[in-house]
Amino acid sequence: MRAYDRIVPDPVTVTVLVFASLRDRLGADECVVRAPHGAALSGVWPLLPEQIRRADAPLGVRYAVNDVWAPAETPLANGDRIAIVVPVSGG
Amino acid sequence: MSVPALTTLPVRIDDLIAAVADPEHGGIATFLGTTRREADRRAFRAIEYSAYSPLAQTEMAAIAAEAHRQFGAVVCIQHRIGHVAVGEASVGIAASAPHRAAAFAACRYAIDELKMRVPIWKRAHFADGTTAWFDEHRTTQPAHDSPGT
Repeated sequence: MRAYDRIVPDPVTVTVLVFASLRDRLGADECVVRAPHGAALSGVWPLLPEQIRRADAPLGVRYAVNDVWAPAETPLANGDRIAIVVPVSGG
Repeated sequence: MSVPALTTLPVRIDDLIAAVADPEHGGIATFLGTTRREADRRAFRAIEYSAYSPLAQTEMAAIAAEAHRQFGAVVCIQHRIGHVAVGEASVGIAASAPHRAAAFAACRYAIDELKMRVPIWKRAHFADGTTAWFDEHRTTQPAHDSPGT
């Protein structure tokens, strides 16, 4: 086996912003999550603190990365500030 | 004049009208969404609004730009954050256009789009002291409206 075959990319660290009832469940506006290299936005839910992920991810969730809407399949990058946007109810 | 998209202060419709007034336009349509006293047979004390501020402001600006492209209207949207008592306005919209049909259409477009896509959430404060967030996906129209607009 060549040496570089054993190299495993480092996990990435992202900040996750939550809102509304998720914020109440977390008891904070945000948390820091370490995710495997190559993980997508949609893969963040199982990595969240237990008080959030004890329930299934809400239907109709959208995501943002660094304050811009992003598709669920967007790969996470180290230092990203991602937002889990639950269904909205303004107006 | 410049009107902030999000505010903790009461919505002043005159400020929104001033922001869209144009001597070339012949009509200004306005909309104020207010907190109802009761919805789904439950009485409210107030509605509390919170937002993902950076993206909410971006999205509100995008809606105004879309309304301009589609209807030729100048649109100003403001949403209140924090506690909004029964009878007070949570959202205000003013849309000016050369003619009334475009002004009405742009105003309607703006409130409909805001309710669908702008990251703002309401939490009902019921008269009995309990609270509830409105942040769940709905596949059908609710039997009764939520307590806002």
